[in-house]
Amino acid sequence: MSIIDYSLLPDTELVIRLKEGDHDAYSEIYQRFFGLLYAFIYKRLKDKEESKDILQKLFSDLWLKRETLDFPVLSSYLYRAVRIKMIALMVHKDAEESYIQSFNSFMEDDTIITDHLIRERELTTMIEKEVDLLPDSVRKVFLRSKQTIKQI
Amino acid sequence: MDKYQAKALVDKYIEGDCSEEEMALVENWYLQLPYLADAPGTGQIIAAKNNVWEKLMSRRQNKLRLYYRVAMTAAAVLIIGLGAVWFFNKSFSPELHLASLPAIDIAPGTNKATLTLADGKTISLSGEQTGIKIKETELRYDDGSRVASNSLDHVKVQMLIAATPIGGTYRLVLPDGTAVWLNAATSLKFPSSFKKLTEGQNRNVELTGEAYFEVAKDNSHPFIVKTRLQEVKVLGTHFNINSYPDDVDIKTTLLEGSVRVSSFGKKDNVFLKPNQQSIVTANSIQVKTVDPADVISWKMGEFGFGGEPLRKIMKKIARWYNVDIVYTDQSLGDKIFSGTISKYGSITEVLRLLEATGEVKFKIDGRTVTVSNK
Repeated sequence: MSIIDYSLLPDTELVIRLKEGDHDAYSEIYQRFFGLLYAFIYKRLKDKEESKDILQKLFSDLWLKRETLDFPVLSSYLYRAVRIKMIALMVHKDAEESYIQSFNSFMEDDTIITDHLIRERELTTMIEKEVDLLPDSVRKVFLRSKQTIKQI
Repeated sequence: MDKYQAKALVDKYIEGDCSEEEMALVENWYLQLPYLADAPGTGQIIAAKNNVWEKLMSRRQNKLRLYYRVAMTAAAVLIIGLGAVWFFNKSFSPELHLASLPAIDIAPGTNKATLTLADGKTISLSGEQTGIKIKETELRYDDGSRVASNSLDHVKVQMLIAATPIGGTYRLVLPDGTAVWLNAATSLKFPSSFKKLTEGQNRNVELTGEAYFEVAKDNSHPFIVKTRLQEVKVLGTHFNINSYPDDVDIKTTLLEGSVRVSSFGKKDNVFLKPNQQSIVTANSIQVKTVDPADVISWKMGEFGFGGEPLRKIMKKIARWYNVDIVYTDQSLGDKIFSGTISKYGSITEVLRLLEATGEVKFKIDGRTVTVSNK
């Protein structure tokens, strides 16, 4: 039996354990991030099944590729994976071409952030600001991850 | 842009082949996606969470049989990755020369460290824990439990020394909130409190070995890390210093913010930008651009070497597995390798991957590793 309380470990420790094949660490990562990522995706896709499919694929990859994954920050890795999977889905399943249209009109009108560090921060904030809107129980689990990051 | 161009651009993005401008375009569009639905309620989130977890677990059962194959493929990819970057352009040989590696293996390092108080008393820190926090008067592990027999004199500020042995690593949070990860065979000297500093006084620490710092911001008290040959001055930022006594040079790598590196020998300063590394020797300072991921891979539980000579790689291995390295031919130490390997495997796993390049061979005898020509 394990004497480690995984809910107290910072993300960085969970990643180290995940890479060693520790399934409890994987389970804790799932607990921490699922609610936030689901809320984020669902609000933009408005499709329960597709939101779940994206996350099933994402977490399945996280386990299968755990030994070769190479990322400094767990949350950035997950947000990037969500981004790629959402963009792929939107553009490839875009029957009414509404996303393509939105993409085109976006390019005509908007100014873009070219500095990639600033953009990276925006991409993180965009997901993490969802935290405040989450139901209490879901938010608390996610905040464990943030607390340990802040303490450090 | 028509449908096909937009799709082509998105495909490039997914494959990671975009130019910087194309990437900015796709990501900015993603940043402004509208909400189509209200936030889901607790019931919906929990149902989705349980549902997806069940699917993941049932697939895992079916996959167990396939696991061996997946693992072997992953290993092959790693080996090929390591082989492919072999700089000397020799053809990759998939044969492994494992005969020389013994059945009794050498285990990797773990969480190990000691803390020495000003009166000379030394406390061994728990291997069950990954780090400690030093507060003004007490020491606590990451999980909040108290370090046995600790009570720091809260009247006097004393110098403390945290040290890891060969094969040890540990994380500390200093009294000002600065986090320090100590690599193997490293020691850090620091005061038990920074509270009594007057305006403009420095937060001084001294380092031997390798550590990664995330310095808590405090504009009125610059943070200074002194090593042999140099000191590094910062206000609040993330950086790595490699200053082992058996290396000629000291490498400081900046991840975030800005730092000033001052060489004692040359009496000269350089300011680093993120992704830059300074290399200080007794009479020179150089600055180059590096991939910081390689530099701090040790903190992520990996050996990472981006085009490093074997001699340096073997030094890292020696410090982590507590072994001595012997070369049958000194020039072998100059061969250059790139790659990443988990630090938490046994020594044979690491040596096997290096052997798989077909360029070197290892023999382990007790705690001595002999490096020879293929």
